[in-house]
Amino acid sequence: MKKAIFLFVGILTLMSFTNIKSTDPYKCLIQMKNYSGEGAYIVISLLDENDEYLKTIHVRGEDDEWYHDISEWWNFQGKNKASLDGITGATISGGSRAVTSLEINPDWIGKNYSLRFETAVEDKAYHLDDIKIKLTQELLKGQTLKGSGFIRFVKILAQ
Amino acid sequence: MLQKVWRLSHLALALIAGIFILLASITGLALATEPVIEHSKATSFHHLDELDLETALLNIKAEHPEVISIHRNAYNQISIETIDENFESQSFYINPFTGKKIANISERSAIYEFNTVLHRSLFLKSTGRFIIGLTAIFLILIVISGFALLLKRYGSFRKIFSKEKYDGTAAYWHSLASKYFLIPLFIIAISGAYLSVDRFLIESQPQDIWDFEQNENTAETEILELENINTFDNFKVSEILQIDFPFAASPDEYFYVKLVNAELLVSQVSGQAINRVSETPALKTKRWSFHLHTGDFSWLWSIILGLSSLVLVGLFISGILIWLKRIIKSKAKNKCPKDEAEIVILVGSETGSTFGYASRLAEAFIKLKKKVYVASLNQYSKFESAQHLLILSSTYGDGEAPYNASQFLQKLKNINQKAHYSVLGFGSTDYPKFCAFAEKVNQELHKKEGLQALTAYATVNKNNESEFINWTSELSRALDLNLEIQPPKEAQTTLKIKEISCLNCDQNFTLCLKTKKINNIQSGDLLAITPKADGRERLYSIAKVDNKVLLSVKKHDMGICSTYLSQLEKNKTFKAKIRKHPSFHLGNKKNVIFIANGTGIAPFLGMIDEAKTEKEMHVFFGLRKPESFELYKDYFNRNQSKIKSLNLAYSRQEQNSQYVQHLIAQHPETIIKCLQNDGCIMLCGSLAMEKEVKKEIDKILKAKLLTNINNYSLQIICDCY
Repeated sequence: MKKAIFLFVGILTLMSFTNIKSTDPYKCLIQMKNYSGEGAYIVISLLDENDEYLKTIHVRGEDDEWYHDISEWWNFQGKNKASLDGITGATISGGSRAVTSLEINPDWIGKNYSLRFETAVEDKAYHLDDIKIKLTQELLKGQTLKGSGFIRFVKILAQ
Repeated sequence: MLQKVWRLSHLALALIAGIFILLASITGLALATEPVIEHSKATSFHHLDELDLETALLNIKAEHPEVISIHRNAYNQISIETIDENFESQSFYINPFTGKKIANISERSAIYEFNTVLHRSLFLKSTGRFIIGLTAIFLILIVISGFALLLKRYGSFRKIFSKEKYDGTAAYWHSLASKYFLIPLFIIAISGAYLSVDRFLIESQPQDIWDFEQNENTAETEILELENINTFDNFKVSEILQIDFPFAASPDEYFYVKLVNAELLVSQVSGQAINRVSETPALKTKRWSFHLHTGDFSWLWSIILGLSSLVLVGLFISGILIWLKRIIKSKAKNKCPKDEAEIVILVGSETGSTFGYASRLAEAFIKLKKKVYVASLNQYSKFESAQHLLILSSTYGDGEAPYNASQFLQKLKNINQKAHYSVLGFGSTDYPKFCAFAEKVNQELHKKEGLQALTAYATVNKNNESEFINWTSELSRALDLNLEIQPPKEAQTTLKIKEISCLNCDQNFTLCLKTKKINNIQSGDLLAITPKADGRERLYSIAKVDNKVLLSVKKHDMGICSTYLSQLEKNKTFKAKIRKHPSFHLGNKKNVIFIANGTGIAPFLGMIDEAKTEKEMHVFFGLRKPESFELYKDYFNRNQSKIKSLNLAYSRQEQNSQYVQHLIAQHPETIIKCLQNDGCIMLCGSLAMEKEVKKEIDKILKAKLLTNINNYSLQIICDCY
């Protein structure tokens, strides 16, 4: 019995320990270009070395009836149906900016993984690789990541 | 001709866009309440022009070190976005004078969201926005054409705002509301249209503030404290819309400052703006269009916008009523074909009311087995069997043709017709060009070969029934017929006796009656009572006193109606018709003389009671004995201060017997002053009295002004029997 309790507490401790250690919070600034039209839907995802989706890190835009417009990501999300709880925010409109909190696991860094920023605006366009960049330690120190679509730039810093 | 284009386009535009205008008005009314509510909230600060931006920023930074951005909205509510201890982004309202949080940002009410979407795009996205944009453009054209019609109606811009007589019709309300809300409605239409035009055609975008050469100077540079950033010294909180704080303490991160009319990027190193873009003219127009259209900047303007929306709904309904009335009334039902008719009645009417007279006239002819055809003046053509052309026409605005008579004069020139004619003009002496169109028609008919006058040209002022009957009698004589014109069809009204006086020494008594229709009644209107005993109608002049009908009646020993009335008891009811008598209403003249004998005083008792004090009023009143006055004494006493002079004549007393005309002869200066100051003299009582009084006035005018009573005939108004 004692053993069981010990094991149970041990596992719990380990779990909570790994839970705390598993991801680090970063703050991420997204500055949009001055486009006209509705607010942009933005999906930030983690890609593996073959550019396959691994995980959805953050979604801007809360109305899921438009998610199919972000078609590549929707192919992935539609199938695996991972919960988006706590990682969504409002769309960002042209010319404005938003600060978002991102959870990034240190294990992902330096593994040839990439961060992808996908953007779509109603009646306008869809940019698969508005930003796609290898996830490195350098990148997480406030480097300016220039966008090619609706995003002007992105900066990520440790909280 | 031009006027016809205005009218047609005003109607057509309103019919096409009407339903959308109605929808936008109702939703607009709901939306107009939002700025009023938001401006009254505790989160709205009204002295932000007294608060230095730097002070406010330091307050906020002290309370919320993690602040990301600050926003000021049009309601002067200041909100900030910050990151809490759990790295969650938070937004709430603060007090900029203390920096403290005062309220959470609540989501906009679903009712406003619903109305906004419906108002802006009918829930149809871009298609709906396009439709609403077109509606706004239509509204501009409706306002412009409406303005042109107002100008036509009143003759000149200055006259538009002269006082108009209340007549309770849709046309009255339509022109009254439109003239006072012309400017706000025009602003709503223009601003709404511009917002759509901007969205679809201009797509104004601010200049890109990030489009500048960034110094790639990576050398470590010192970051300034907030209080040392000079740029912020120069602004008040009321000038800014948004400030984004730098994301990090690095030289390539800037303060972004959005002013009302410019954007700045402010360096953390130098404290100076490193780039500035100003608002483009297109954006400025868009911004002002938005403010004016939504009223977000001022609760007062929102109230005006809300009222305008309400007025627009009213204008739509009254406009439709005017249109329907015109269609229904102008459809003459003719029993015989046009070329068989012996008598052709041609009507020129703006509102359709002249058609009512035409059909009563036509019925009288039909009763005598005559073949009659009724048509509008524009339908004039050759009538093969016509012997008589009877023309009844009103005048539009400043002496122009009503809408259904605009082509008549042209057609008259080209058509050769042999007939006798008679013209009756309808109008109001309140307008300067009284019956000018009818007069013109009469002149042109006179010049035309083949046409001969049947009777003299005559007019009807303010639908005066007796003037119409006089003309038809002339017609009867000229045609050697006995035309019997039926009274207009009217609804009966129930009246309840509130008070009935005893008979006085002259067998006179007063009746005080209550009715639900009291708001439609003015002193001078007539009450038509038809006792069952003989079925004949009697007319009594009404005084409106304390919102009740007051009648003054003389009981004749053999009189059926007066006896019937004198025997009524308190709280009994009876039915009668109320007949409007606008030509005998107390107008807006500053000088008025009331002349009456016997029970004829009744309408004046009401007029004096209702009159405003700035009027100069004189009363000349003929009675039999001093005791006769007792019946009316209370009504004069309560208005003593309003009456400039009260002159009484007694005809049946021992000494100094005299009639009211003798009093007139004794006061020539009162008569002259009144007539020369554009005042009016009102007479009510017996026909004999009218004749004698007019004779005295004529004498005075001849002696003092070397003119005669005919030159002042429009200022002397009679209701005698």
